[in-house]
Amino acid sequence: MSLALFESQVVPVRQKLYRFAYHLLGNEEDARDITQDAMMKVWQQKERMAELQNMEAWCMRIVRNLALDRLKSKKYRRSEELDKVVDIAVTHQDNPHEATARQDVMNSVHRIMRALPEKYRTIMQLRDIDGHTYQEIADILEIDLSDVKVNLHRARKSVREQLQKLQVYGV
Amino acid sequence: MEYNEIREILSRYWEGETSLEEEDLLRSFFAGNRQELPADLLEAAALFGYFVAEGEREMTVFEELDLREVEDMDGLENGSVAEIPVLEEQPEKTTGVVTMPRPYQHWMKYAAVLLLGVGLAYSGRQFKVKEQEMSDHSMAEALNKADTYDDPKEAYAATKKALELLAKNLNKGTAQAKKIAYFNEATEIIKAD
Repeated sequence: MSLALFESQVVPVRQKLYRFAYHLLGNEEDARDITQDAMMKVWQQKERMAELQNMEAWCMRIVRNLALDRLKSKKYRRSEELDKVVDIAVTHQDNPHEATARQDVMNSVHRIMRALPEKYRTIMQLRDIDGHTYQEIADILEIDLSDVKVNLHRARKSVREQLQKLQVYGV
Repeated sequence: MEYNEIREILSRYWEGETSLEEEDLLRSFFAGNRQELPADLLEAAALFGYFVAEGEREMTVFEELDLREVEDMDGLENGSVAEIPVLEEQPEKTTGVVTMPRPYQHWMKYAAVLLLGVGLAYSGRQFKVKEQEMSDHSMAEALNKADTYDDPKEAYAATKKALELLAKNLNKGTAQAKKIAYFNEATEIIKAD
């Protein structure tokens, strides 16, 4: 494969790959490692690049496999960062009470998301946060299109039930 | 009116039947309308607020790659992966990691080297002491093996003298033991009476 192909199709998606790895591992350092490993793996298999239809999905798949391998490895200790939710930007309109309340809600949603089975969480992440199409998700996870829809439906249903249970209202 | 439309899209969202455009619409709706939402929309507001926040989460910035370097190196060593400078992280920019001064950072390494040195010195010293002991021992053995006397008569006399001394001391002991025997006899006689 040519360097041009690598440059035009793989390099631009590394931020996406990193984000994906981060959501799987919950740790920035490990996510960087995995992204780098994935890029190397892609380069190692550069001969295959020309025949691939969806390069991005292929790269994402490599990232996912590497991340899951790392999660499975006995040495891997889940980082505390997993429980770290993104800090909500406090605007000048928010008073401290509202800002804290919003942060609490975000923390609750984050916990609900992290408690989902890996497959559900990944599908929701790819669809609702990263904005991938069903076909792209199917390519990344190597599952049928119908499985993507079914799992997404179940994932959302489960999240909704948890949200209702916790009553994390008041945004 | 607008709420009804959102409700309709939401119901399809929970079923997993919305398009990406509709989901974008929901995201932007909940991002813009945080206040005074009807109660039935609050659960979705929490979730979409989270999606928006996660989507905007700042991630590590990757340095721009100088791909010409990769090309140059690829020409030199085709197929090798070691030379790909794929990702250059910039931790100071995003994570704000405080780096310790180098000498303190590696104190464990220095301690390990020091410990190894002390260990080697100690074992070396022990080895020398053992060697010294061994040589002393072999010298004593050699002395034992050597004959004390050259003349057999002298040797006989010396042996005789040594044995006599032994016998004399032994007799001293038996003389003392005899006294005890008297006591035994006396006690037996008394008992018999």
